[in-house]
Amino acid sequence: MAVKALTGLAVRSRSLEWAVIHKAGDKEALASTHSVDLELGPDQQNVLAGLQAERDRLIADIRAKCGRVPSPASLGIPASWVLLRIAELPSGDPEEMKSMAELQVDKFSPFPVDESAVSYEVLSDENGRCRVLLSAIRTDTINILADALREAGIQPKWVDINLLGWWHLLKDAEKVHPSGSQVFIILEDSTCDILVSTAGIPLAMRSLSNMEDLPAEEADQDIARETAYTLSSLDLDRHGGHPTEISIWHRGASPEGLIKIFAEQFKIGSRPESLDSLPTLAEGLLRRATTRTAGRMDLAPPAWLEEANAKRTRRRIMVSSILAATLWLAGMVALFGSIQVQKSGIASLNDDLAALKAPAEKVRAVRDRTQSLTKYMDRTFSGLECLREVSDRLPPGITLKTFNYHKNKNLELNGEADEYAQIADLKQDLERSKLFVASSLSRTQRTKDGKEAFKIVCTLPGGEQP
Amino acid sequence: MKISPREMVLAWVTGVIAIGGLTFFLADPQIKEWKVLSGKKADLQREVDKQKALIAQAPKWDAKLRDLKKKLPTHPQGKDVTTDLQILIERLAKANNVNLISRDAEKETQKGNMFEVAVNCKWEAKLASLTHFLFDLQKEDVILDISQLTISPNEKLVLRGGFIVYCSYSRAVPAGGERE
Repeated sequence: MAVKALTGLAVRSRSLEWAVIHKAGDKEALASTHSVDLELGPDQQNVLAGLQAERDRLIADIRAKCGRVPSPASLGIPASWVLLRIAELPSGDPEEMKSMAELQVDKFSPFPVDESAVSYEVLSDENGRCRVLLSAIRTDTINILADALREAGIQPKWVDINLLGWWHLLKDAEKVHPSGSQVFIILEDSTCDILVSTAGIPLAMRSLSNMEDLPAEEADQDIARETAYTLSSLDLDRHGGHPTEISIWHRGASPEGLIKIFAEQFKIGSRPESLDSLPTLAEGLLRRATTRTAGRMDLAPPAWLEEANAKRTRRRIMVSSILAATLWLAGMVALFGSIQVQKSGIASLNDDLAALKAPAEKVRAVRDRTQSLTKYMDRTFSGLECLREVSDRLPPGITLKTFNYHKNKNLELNGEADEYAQIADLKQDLERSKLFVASSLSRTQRTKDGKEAFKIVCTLPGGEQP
Repeated sequence: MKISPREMVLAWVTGVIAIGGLTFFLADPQIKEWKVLSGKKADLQREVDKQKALIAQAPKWDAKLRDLKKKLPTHPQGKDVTTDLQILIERLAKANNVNLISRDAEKETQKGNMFEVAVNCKWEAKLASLTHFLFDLQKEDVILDISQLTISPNEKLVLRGGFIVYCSYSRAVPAGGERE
């Protein structure tokens, strides 16, 4: 059974993290999770900036640190790189949804449509209306990253968003409540992702980047301000009431400053949670990739699919051409070879025949002489036996005129009968004799004295016509 | 130059058709030749098998011929067998009241180391006499064989006709002579 691998690759500002799953039939096994820090220059804020400044060095760094990453890979990019918007749209089939998503994105995206990769994800679908997460990114941005990864030996197939990977992990860890509104603040990798959900369905997603450039207190103020702005922009009453919980997901030390600001600004308290209590982000992306369906986020430009299809077609044509050429050549070799084999076989048989000719002739001569002598000595069909047979079968009223016997040929009888019926009876009677192979009544003629003259020829064994 | 998948597929199909044509052009005469050679080979194989089967029967035919030869009378080289044969026929005819009108002996013929002499006789007799005469001929140790027999009645109600009787024999091989 063929084993297929799938990789979830989370791209962070300064690091890569990937998890690999191996699938064999219905069985899946998470093989490994890895994480590497990339060596970016001092003025390079993230991997994109690094690739634009020192592409070859960074590719070599990725290749050296990542080694061989199994294909295909589902790439996760930071939410801060992407334009995100949640909207409500009428339900429809995937093609219609895609068209509607492109129209909606065109309203808020500053990028030209033909230079953008647009995608959507259905968050909920009820009563003919669905809530979708719309996203857009410049094709150039995603291509810079994907081309570099391909050169480093990693083959991205889908492009996902890291925040959706976290959301998947939160749901799997049952941190998302089926009722009430929740605010999730994810502090990681110098970014802050804010996700507001109601009844387990996201209502808003925000992302703040380059937080490390700011003093800690100012960064906390920014996060609190953005959270307040996000909450105020949502009509939470309509969707299920005020937030019941604010959870701050972080790494390392608890963000006490931020918790203090939240406590001052909001009526409800905030609760710190460690990201280390969840599986890795790469695993979250991988889980999404293994359950990928239509209506899932994929910011891979259409050209990737076309290129993959073209590559697959090229490979199939090449394989089938090689196969066909091999079969053709094998067929030709077999055909021409078999003719040579036939010729050589005929030559060999001719030699055998020539060698057998003299001894066979000798045996044939002995056989012919033996058969001739046997026939000579055989009294079964002698003249005396034929005479006895005819005498026995001759009915009254028939007179034989001549009896001509020729050994191994025939017996010719000429005679006269009172009636034709007697001749016919004699002929039939002779036909039944074991001495004769056949008998024929070749002639009958009425004589002057009113009798029927006849001639019957009985064939003896060895006298048959060839 | 970038070739689209559609163009690739078309090129592939064209290539397959071209190779199909080339295959037909190359293979058709070869297949016909192969069939002819195959038939010829099968015929030759049959012939070889036939000859081998015949050779395998050699001991059987040799033994049979040896047995048959034992039944043949042997006469010394140069001895005139025709006279003896005519005397024998005459004796048997007289013993059975068969009147031999004429006796015409043919020249001795040789087949391998077997010899044959034919005597053509005209006769006159009653049916019972003829029957006994023929029976006595068959009984003789010498190999006598009636190859032709004609019977026809004459005006005196006595049967008349002719027969050709063959006598087969071998001759003693002189000392130092080859025996076939």
